[in-house]
Amino acid sequence: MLTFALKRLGLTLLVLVSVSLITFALVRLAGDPAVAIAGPEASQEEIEALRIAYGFDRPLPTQYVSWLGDVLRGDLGYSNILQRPVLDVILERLPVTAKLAGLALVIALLLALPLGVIAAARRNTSIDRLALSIAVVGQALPNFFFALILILVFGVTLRWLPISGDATFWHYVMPAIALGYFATPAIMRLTRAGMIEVLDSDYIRTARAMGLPRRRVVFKHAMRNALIPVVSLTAVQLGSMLSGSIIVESVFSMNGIGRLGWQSIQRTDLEMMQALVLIIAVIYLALNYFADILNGLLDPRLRVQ
Amino acid sequence: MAFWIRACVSSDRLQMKEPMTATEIIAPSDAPGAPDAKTVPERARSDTWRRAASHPGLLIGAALVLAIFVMALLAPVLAPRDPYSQDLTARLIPPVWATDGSWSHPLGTDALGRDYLSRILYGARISLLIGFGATAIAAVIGTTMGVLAGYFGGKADFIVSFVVNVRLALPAMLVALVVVALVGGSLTVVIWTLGLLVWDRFAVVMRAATQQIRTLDYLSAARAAGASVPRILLSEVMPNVMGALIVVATLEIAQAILFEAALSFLGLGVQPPTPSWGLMISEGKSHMFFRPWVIAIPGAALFVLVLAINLLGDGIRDVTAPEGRA
Amino acid sequence: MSLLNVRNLRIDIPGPRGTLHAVRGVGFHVEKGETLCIVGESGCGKSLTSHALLGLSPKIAQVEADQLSFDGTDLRQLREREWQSLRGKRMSMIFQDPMTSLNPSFTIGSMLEEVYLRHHRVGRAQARARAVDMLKKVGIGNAEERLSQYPHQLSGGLRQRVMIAMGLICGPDLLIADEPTTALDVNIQLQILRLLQDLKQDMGLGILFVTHDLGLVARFADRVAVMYAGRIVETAPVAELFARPCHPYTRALINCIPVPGRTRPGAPLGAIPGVVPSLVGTQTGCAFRDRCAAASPVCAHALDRRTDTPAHAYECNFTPEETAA
Repeated sequence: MLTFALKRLGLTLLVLVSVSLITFALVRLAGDPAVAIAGPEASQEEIEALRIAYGFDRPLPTQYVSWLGDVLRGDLGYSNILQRPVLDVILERLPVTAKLAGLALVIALLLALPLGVIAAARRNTSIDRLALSIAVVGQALPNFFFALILILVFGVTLRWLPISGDATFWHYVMPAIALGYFATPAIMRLTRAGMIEVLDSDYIRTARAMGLPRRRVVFKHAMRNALIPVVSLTAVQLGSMLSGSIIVESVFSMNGIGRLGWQSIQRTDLEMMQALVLIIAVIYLALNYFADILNGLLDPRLRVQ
Repeated sequence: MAFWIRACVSSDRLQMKEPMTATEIIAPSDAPGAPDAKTVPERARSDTWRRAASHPGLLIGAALVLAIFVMALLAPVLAPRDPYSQDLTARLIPPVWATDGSWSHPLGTDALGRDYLSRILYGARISLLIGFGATAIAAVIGTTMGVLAGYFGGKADFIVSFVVNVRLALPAMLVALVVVALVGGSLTVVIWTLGLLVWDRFAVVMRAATQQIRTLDYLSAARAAGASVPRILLSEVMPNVMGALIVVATLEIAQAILFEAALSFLGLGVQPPTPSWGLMISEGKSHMFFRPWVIAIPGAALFVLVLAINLLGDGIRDVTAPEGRA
Repeated sequence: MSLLNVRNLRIDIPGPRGTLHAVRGVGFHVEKGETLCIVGESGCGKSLTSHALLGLSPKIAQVEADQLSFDGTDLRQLREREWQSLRGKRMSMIFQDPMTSLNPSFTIGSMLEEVYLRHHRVGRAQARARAVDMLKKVGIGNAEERLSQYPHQLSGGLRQRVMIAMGLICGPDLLIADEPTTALDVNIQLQILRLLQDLKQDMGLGILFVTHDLGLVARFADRVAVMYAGRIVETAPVAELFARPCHPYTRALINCIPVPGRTRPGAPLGAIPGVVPSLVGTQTGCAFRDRCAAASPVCAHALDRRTDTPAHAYECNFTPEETAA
C-alpha cells in the first residue's frame, strides 16, 4: 500500500511540474509582463526600468526557476492590479468556491447515486428509462443557460432565492444546482453501468444461490464493488466543477476563485492568472490523488499484496 | 488518475454492451456457432442497419441533426433578413406567438433590432462549424496518441498517459479564456484553442479500443506476413476502432459546441456582431427579466442541437457495440 | 420419495430470430446420498438446467416443467422469498469459476458467517466457530487465519474449497455442482472430487454434478444422464453406461477418450463429425441424426424411448446392436 501511495505521489508531482511549466510558458508567451504592469500610459523608459526591476530581462528558464522557487516557498507573486499578494487574495476567495463545489457535489450525488442503483436494479423498466432521459437532458443543457433560467424562475418570478452574492447559505442553492446538475448524468450512468455489470457477475449469482435476500445483495454486495469507479469519477467531476465555477460564479456574482479568474483575465492580471491556473491544477491533482488512495483502500485487491 | 481513465473507459465499454440476445445469455462460448473469442465478431451490415432503424433515440437524433444541418446550410436562403443589419426602431420585438409579435420578425428582435430568426439560423452555422472543426483537430491529435499508446504499450503508453494526465490537470475553461484573451477572439482562434484542449477523451478511448484488438489473431497474422507498422495501423487497426471513434467524435462535437457557447457567453469566444448562440444569450442577459425570449430562444436552440447530437452518438454506440462482450 | 424430481423440463429463450428451445423436455431424479452426473458438451443446455433447479434462470428465460420438486416441495411456483429460504439451506449450488464466483470485497470469514447467519438464529461467535469448522472440513489448513483473508489471496483450488464450504455450511440435502472443476488444474480437480466424495458420505448429501468430462464421470458418478441438444438421450448407472452404451452419441463420446494401452499411438483421435443443430424453432425427431452413422429417414420425425434394463433408459429408434453396425 505504501509503495502504491508513493508511486502515485511521484507521478502526481511530475505532472504538477509539467503543468507549472505550461502555465508559465502560456502566460509569458502571450504578453509582455512589463507592459502589463506598467499600464498603457507608460513610456518606453518606464517599461524598461520595470523590466529590469522585476527581472523580466533575465532568460526565460531562469525566470521560471525563480518563480517556481517562490511558489514552493509560498510566494505566489504580487498582483499589481490589486496591489496585494496573490496568495492572500486566492485564500480569501477559496472558501466560497469550496462551499459551492461541495454543495454542488452533494446535490449531484444525492440525485445520481440512487437513480443509478435503482435504474440498474430495475433495468429496462420505466424508471430506468426515466433515469436515462434525465441523464440525456442534463447533458444537453448549457450550464450558463440553466443558471439564467433558475434565476428567472426561482429568483425573479417566485422570489424564493437570492440571485446574487454569497452571504448566506441560501445564496448557494441555485448556483450549486447550476453547477452540480452537469455532473449528475455522468455519475448516474457510471453507477448504473457499474451496478449492471456487478449484478450480472458470478459472485452476485453465488450470493443469490446462498439464499441471501435481494435487497441485501443489491445494497451490500453489489454496491460495494460497483461504486469503486464512481469514487474516481466524483473526484474528476469535482475538479471540473472548479472549471465550471467560472461561469456560475460570474452569473451569480459570487466571490470565489472562478470569478477571480475571470476578473483577472479582464484586468490582465498576469501574476494572478498564472497562480490561479497552478492552484486549480494543484487542487485537481490533490483530489485525484486522494481518490486513488481511497480506491486503494476500498478495493482489497490493491490493499493487500 | 489511472482509475479515472479506467473508469471512463469501463463505463464506455459497459455502455457499449447491448441488450443480450438469447444465445448470448446462455454464455458466449456455449452458444452454438458462437464466434471464437480471438477472432473478430463479424457483424452483418444489414444487422446494424436493422438495429439502427429500430432505435428511437438514434432516429430522432439523426433527424434533428440533419434538419439543423440543412437549416444552417440554407441559412442565406431561409433567413428573412440580414443577421447583422440593425434597426433601432424595431428593438426587442417579441416573437410572433406573444402579444405585440408579428410575422415580420417570427422570433422577435434583439436589443439592436436584429432579426432573431436570421441570427439563430446563422448561429447554427457557427455552432456546427466550431463543433466539427474543433473536434476534427482534437480527433486527429487524440486518435494518433491513443492508437500509438494502445498499440505499442510500454514507453509510448506511459508518455501518452502522462500527457493526458497533464492535460486533465489543466483547467480547460480557464486556459481557453486566457488564450483567447491574450490572442484575441475569432472563429479560427476558438476552433484551434478548443481543438488543442479537448483531445484527451479521444486519446483515452482510442487507446482502450486499440488495446482491445491488439492481441487478436488477425493482427498477429499481419505482422507475421511482414506488414510494416504504419500499414498495420492504417489498414488493420483503424477500421476496427472506427466504431469507437465515431461515437466519441459525435459526443465531443456536442461538448465542443457547449464549450464555445460558454466562451462566447463570457465574451471570450466568437466576437460580436457574429451571431453565436452563446453570445446572443450574453447580449440578451440584461433584458431577460421582462423579455425572457431573448435568452430562451438561443438557449433552446443550443439545447436541441446538443440533445440531438447526444442522442445520435448514444444511438450509434448502442447499435455498433460488438456482441458477446463479457 | 426422491430428493429431486424433474419431469419434462423445458426452457425457452425468446430472441430476435425466434424462440430458442434450449432445454426440450428433460427428466431425471436424484436420490438421497447418490451422485447423478449430467454430462454433455458446451451448449447442450446442462448449465441452464442446473440453474433452473435453484430458480437462477436468466430473467428472459421461460421455464416450465410437468414436475419440478425437491423433497416434496413444488419448485415451479415458488416466490422469491420462498426460494431464499431454500437456497443455501436445503439445496446449494457451487459454480464453475472460483476466480469470479467470490466477492472480492469481502473476507472469506464474513461471507461464510453471513450465509450461516442467514439461515440460523445464532450469535456471531457461533457462526464464526461453524465457519472455522467448515473450512477445516473442506481441507483448508490454518482455518483461523483464512477467515480474515480475501479471495484474491487464495489459489483457485482453495477458492473452490471455500465455495464448497459456503455451499455446505448449512448442511443441505442436495448439492448442485455446475462444472466446479473445469477451471482448475488437473491435480486440483482430483483433490476437489475426492473432497466431494468424502463430504457426500459424511453428510449424506445428494449431488447433481454437471460436467462435460466423461473421465470425471467414470470416477465420480453413481448414475449418469447424457445430455445432447437440450434432451437427455441416455440415463444409466455408471458401470452400465460404460460397459454397454446404448445411444450412438454416448458411444461416440466414449470412443473419443484416448485410453492408454488401447488407443494406438499415432492413430487419429476420435471425433464426432458435424455440429450441434440450431435449436431455434420447432424440432422433430432426433437431434443427433445429422451426425449419426446409423441414422435413417424415420429419425427425422420419430423418436423411441427404450429401456435396456430397468435403470438404463435411452432415446433411439434402434437398439445398440442395430446402431453398432
